[in-house]
Amino acid sequence: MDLNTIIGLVSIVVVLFFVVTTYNGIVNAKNAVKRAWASVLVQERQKNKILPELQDAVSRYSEFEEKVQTGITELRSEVGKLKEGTPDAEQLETIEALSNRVLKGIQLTMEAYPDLKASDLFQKLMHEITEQQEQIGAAIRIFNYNVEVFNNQIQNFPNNIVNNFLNKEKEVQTFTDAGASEGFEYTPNI
Amino acid sequence: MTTETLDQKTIDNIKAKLPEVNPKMSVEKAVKIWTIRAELAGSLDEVYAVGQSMEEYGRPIKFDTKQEKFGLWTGAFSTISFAYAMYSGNDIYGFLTALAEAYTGVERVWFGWGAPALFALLTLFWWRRYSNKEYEVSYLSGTLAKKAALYQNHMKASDVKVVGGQINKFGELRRGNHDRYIRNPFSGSYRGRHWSFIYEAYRLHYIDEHRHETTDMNGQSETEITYKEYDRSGIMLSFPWVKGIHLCRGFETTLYPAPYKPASMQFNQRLHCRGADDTALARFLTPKMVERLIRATEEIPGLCIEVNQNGQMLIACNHDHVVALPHDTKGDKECDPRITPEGFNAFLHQTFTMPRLAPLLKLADDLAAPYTR
Repeated sequence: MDLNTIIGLVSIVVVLFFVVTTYNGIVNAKNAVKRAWASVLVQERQKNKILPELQDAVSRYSEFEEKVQTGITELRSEVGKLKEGTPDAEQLETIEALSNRVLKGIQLTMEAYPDLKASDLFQKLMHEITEQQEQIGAAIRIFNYNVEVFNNQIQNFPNNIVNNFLNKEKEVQTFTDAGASEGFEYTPNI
Repeated sequence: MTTETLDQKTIDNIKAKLPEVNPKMSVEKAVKIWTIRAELAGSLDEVYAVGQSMEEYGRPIKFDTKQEKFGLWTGAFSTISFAYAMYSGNDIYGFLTALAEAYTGVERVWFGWGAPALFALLTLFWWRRYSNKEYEVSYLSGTLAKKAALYQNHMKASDVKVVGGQINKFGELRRGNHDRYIRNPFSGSYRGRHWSFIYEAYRLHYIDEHRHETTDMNGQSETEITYKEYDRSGIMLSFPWVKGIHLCRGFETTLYPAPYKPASMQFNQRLHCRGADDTALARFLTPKMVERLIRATEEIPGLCIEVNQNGQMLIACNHDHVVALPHDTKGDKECDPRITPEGFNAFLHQTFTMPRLAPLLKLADDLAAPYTR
């Protein structure tokens, strides 16, 4: 076997090795994104379990009953629309915006009704909801990091060549808090 | 003298019988009294009282070492001179040693090298006396500084046998294939945001043995044994809410068979998780906890966390010791009691922080947050 043949064979092996590792890397990154998304869903559904109890706690206060009750019912319905396996950052944005509105409504109810504010059960529920929101926030940040790694994997050169021919994966959208960015005067042009 | 071997009644008796230091007292006697008070000091106030007494003494706390210095220099000069005279074959020296040989019958070479050897021994003697005197002040200032640092941080020295007995209760401590032992343990209490706890800070020293076999041209094999020594340190505390987990990178223990990977890629790059069962890990590693642990790996180098089946937690790092105690202030113009006792007293009153220990305590506090609400 002459030198040129050996060089040719080694080059083919190196290229094959690169293609296989890149392909598997993209698959692993995609699975990590799906797993992180599932973790977000778990936390959102955990929040959904607390909401009925919260609904009962505020149901006695008729003035705000309709607004807050409607908000909670709508929130539960929106959480139910989240699907496993398919990251849906837009739906998540809707849910988070709705959650913030509902929590604000409950806060206003609490301020208006001192006996509700003093209720141990209500305090416990609010604490649980707040804790759950923090868990969701952390789960979303973890999800965003995994999405960034995945998007880098499929967009960086020469990984994008392997992706275009073999994996054919598309970029995943990260979660952005539209409600929070509304308050800023500056928006980056990205 | 250590307070571990004395009961409280004896300590109180000794303290009561110790005279108060006054400026007329000799520095040797004053240092002896202060040293006993420093060793028996059981609180920060008692440490400060000794520092205050040293300041009120009114003059630098320094032994008179003129005699020792004179003896040292004279002895060294004599040693070198006689040795040179013998080595160079000086005529006068040769005559004197011959004379000694004639009188005693002992060969002159014994006198020739015996004289410098004798002066060398005398030099050593004066050097030891000088070092001992210097050491007494260093020991006093070091004891006071260490106790001030410990008491300020609500800590005290622990029994190494008691803490060392924990070595087989944690997989993280079973490092080193040749030897391992715990040294310099301290116990303390910490009041965190979420809970208060008592902990033991330890230092693990372990030795790895490496065998390297080589075969020479004649087919004979030779084994070369080398030893490498390492230090790691950390804290141990009671953590009853979780059992059987190990989070670490680069060191795995067979005590925890079930691997687990949370959803975060960033976490999985920094820590590997194993548990007695993966359910315990899944419950423990909520998204908030995962984020906290990611931050912890940036604050604490070589982080390892273990909670054994008895509900005892260990948080370890790469530092050789997390309890950083101040050393002797010798030579420091602002706080050496040999130069300025006022400066030394002010030094005792400064805030002693433990920058390597603080992140571990903060982490232990945050890890308990979900369970202590």
